[in-house]
Amino acid sequence: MTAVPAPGRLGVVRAALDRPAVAAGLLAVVVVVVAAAPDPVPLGGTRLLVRAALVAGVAVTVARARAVDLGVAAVAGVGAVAGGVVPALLELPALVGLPLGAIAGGLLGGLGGAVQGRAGRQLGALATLAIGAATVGVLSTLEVVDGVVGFHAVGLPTGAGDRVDALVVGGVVVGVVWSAAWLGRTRRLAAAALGVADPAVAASLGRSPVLDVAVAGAAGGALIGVGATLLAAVDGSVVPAAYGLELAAALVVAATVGGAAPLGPVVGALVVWGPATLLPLAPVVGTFPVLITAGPLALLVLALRRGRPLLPAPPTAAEPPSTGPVAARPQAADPVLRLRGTGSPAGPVDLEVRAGEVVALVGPNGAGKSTLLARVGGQLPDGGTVTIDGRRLPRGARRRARAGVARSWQRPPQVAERDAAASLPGVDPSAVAHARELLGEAAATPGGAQLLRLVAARPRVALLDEPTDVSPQVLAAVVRRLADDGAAVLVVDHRPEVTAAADRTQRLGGPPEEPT
Amino acid sequence: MSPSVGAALALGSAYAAVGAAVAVVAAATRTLHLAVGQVLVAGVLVHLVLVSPVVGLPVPLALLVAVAVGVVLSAALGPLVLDRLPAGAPALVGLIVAAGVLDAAVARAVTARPVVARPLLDLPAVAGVDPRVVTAVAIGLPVAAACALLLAGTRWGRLVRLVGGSPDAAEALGRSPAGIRASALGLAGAVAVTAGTLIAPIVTVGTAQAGGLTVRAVAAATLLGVGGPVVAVAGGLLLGATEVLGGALWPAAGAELAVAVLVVGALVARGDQQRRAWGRAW
Repeated sequence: MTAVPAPGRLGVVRAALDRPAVAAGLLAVVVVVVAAAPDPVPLGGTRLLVRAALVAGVAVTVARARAVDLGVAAVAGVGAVAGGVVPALLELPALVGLPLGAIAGGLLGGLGGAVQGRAGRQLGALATLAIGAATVGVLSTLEVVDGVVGFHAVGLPTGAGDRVDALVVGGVVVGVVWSAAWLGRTRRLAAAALGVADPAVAASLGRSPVLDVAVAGAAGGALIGVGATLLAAVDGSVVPAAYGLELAAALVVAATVGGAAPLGPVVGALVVWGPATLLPLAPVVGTFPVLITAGPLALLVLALRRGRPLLPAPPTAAEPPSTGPVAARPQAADPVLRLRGTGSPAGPVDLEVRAGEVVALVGPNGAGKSTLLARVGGQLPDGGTVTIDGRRLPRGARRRARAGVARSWQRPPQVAERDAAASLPGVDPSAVAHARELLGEAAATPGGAQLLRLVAARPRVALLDEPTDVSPQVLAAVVRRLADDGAAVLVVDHRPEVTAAADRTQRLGGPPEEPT
Repeated sequence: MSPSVGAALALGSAYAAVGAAVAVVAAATRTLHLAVGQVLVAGVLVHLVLVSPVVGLPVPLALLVAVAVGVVLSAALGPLVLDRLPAGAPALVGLIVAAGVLDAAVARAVTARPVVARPLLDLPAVAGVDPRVVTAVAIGLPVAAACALLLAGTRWGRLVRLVGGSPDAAEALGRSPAGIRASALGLAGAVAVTAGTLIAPIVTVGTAQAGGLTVRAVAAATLLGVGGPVVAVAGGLLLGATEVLGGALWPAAGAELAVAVLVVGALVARGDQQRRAWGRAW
C-alpha cells in the first residue's frame, strides 16, 4: 500500500474551493465588493457576473459532460426573449422573467442534449449548430412591438440603481454558479459525460445516453435561460442576431478554458470578457468583437495546457467509498450463458458458459470473435438465441446490460474512469473500490478503466474483447475475480497467461483446438 | 425546369462538392471541419470585392486569389488548431473558436455586401435551364466526384487515410502527418470557396450565413453515410431541395429551419448508425 502524500497549502485551498458552498460564498463576497465599489465598477462588474452565469449554464454540458454544444447561444437567445421581452411586453418587473427564461432555455437545451446523446460528440455538434442557426433565424423574424426588441426596451433588473442591481443580479448569479457546481457532481452528469464520450459504452452499462444528456442539456439550458434573462435586463435589449455563432463560440471556449470546477465559469468569463470589460476604450481589446482578442487568448491557454481547463472538475459526489470485501455470489451448476445459432463469419455458434467459468475465445483474424461478443452484448443484431439463466435476452445493448451482460472493447473508448464508474446504475460502491484495488495503476488507463467498470458492475455475463493494453497478469487476475464472483466469462485473448487462466478455450474458425 | 428545381439542383451540387471535401478532412483528421462555412464566406467576399468595379480584377484572377485565401485560411487550421489541441472536444472547440474569430474579423472588415454576385462562368442556358444552375451543376458535381476519387484512388488519398487512422504509422513511413492534414484542409478550403462562388449568385452569402453553410457542408458529408461521391451528391441534393422547399414555405426563416429539421431528424432516426459508420470517436 502506498502512502498518500499530505496536500500542500495550495492543495488545501483548491480542495476548499472545489466545494460548491465555499465557492458560492466567495463569489457572494465578490458581489458585495463589486456593489460597494465606486462607479463604474458596479455596472461593469454586473455585466461580467452575468456572463459568468451564462458560462455556468454552458459549463454543465460543455465543461462537465464534455459535449461541444453549439446551440448554447440560441438557448440564451430563447431565454432572453422569453425572460426579457415577454415581461417587458406584459409590463412586469424584469426579474419575473427568470422562470420563463429557465423554462424556455431548458426546453431547447434538452432537445440539443437528446440529439447529442443519440449521435455522440461530433455529430451532436453538427446538430446543435443547425439548431442554433435555425433558432436565430426564427427569433430574427419576431415582430417588434413597441420597440421591445431594441436598445433600452427591456426593463432594468430592479430600477433602483446600479448598486442595488449589482447586489440582486449578483445574488442570482451566485445561485446559478452554485447550481451548476452541484449539478456537475451528480451521478446523472457523470452518465451524461459518458453518453457524450461514447453512447455505445453508456448503453452497454445500462444507461440511456439520450435521456442522460437530454437531462443535462435541459438543466444547463435552464441555467443559461436564467443568465440570458439577466443579460437582457442588464443590457436593456434583446437583439436576436447577437445570439449567433460568435456568442456560441465565446461561451463554449469560456466554459472549456474555465473548466467544471465551481469557480471555473467565473474564470472562463474573466478570460473571455475580462479584457474588453476592464479596457473598454483600448484599441482592438475594447472596441473590436470580443472573440478577436479573447479567442486567440483562450486557444493559447488551451494549447499550453494541452486541452486541459484552468480549473478541472472536482471528484463527483458519486465517488464510491472504500468499504469491506465483496461477498462472492453463489455459483450454479447449470449454464448461465447459452448461445444457439449465434451468427459469426465462421458460421452459427452454439456455446454454453457456466457460472464461475472462464472461456477463452481464440481463432484467426476475421473469425468473428469480436462479432460474437457484439452479438451477445446487443451491439449487433443477431438471428440466433441468447439466454441467461434460461431467460431469452431482450434486444439492444441497454436492455442486455440491465439483464447482467457487461462488455469491454478491443479499442478502449476514451471515457473518463470516474464518470464510467459513477454512471453504473445501482452499483455496489465497495465493488468499485475492490475493482480499483485489483487493477492497481492500470485503472488509470483507458483499457483499465473499462475493466474497472466491468468488474464493478458485477455482471452475470462478462465479455472481454482483447484488452491488450492491460498486462496479461492483471487481466488473468481480473477474469478469475469475475469468475469467482459468479460470472460467466468470455474473453478474447491469445496471450498464454490469459488462456492459462481460462477453464477452457473455444476456437472460432480454423481447425478444432486440441484438448489440454 | 422550374426555378425552384433549378435552385435546388444548383445548391445541392455546390453542397455536394463541399461535403466531399469535408469527408476528405474527416478522413485525415477524424474531425468534422466545423469552420468550413467561414472559410467559404471569407473566400466569396474576397472574390466579390476583387471583381467589383472598385478593384476590377478579371473573374479568373479574382477566383484564383479567392481560392488561395481559402486554401491558406483552411490549411492554417491544421498547425494553429488541430495540431496543438488534443482530438475530441478541445480540437472541436478550437475549430469553432477559429470559425468565430474569422466570422468576427470578416464581419468587421466587410460591412456591406460589395456587389451582386454574377455566375462564375458565362455559360449559356441549356434547354431553358438558368445559366447559374448549369454552371453550378457542371462544376459542383465533378468537383465532388474528384474529391472522392482523390481520397479513394490516389497515393495522396491513401496517405490521408493512413494519417487519419494512425499518424504514427505515417510518421514511420517518413511522411509528415501535419503536412498531410494541412493539405487536406487546404483542399477543403479551395473547394469551399469554389462552391461558394457557385451559390453566391443564387442565395445571399455573408457572415450571417456562415454557420448555416457549415451545417449544409458537414451535413452533406455525414447525413447519408460515409464519404464517397454518391453519398456526398445525394446528401447535397437532399439539402438543396430541403432548403428551397423550406424557403418557399416560409421565406423569412424557412430554409434554415427546414435544414435543421432534416439534420436533427436524420440524427435522431439514424444517429447510432451514423456514429458507428464514422468511427467510435464520433
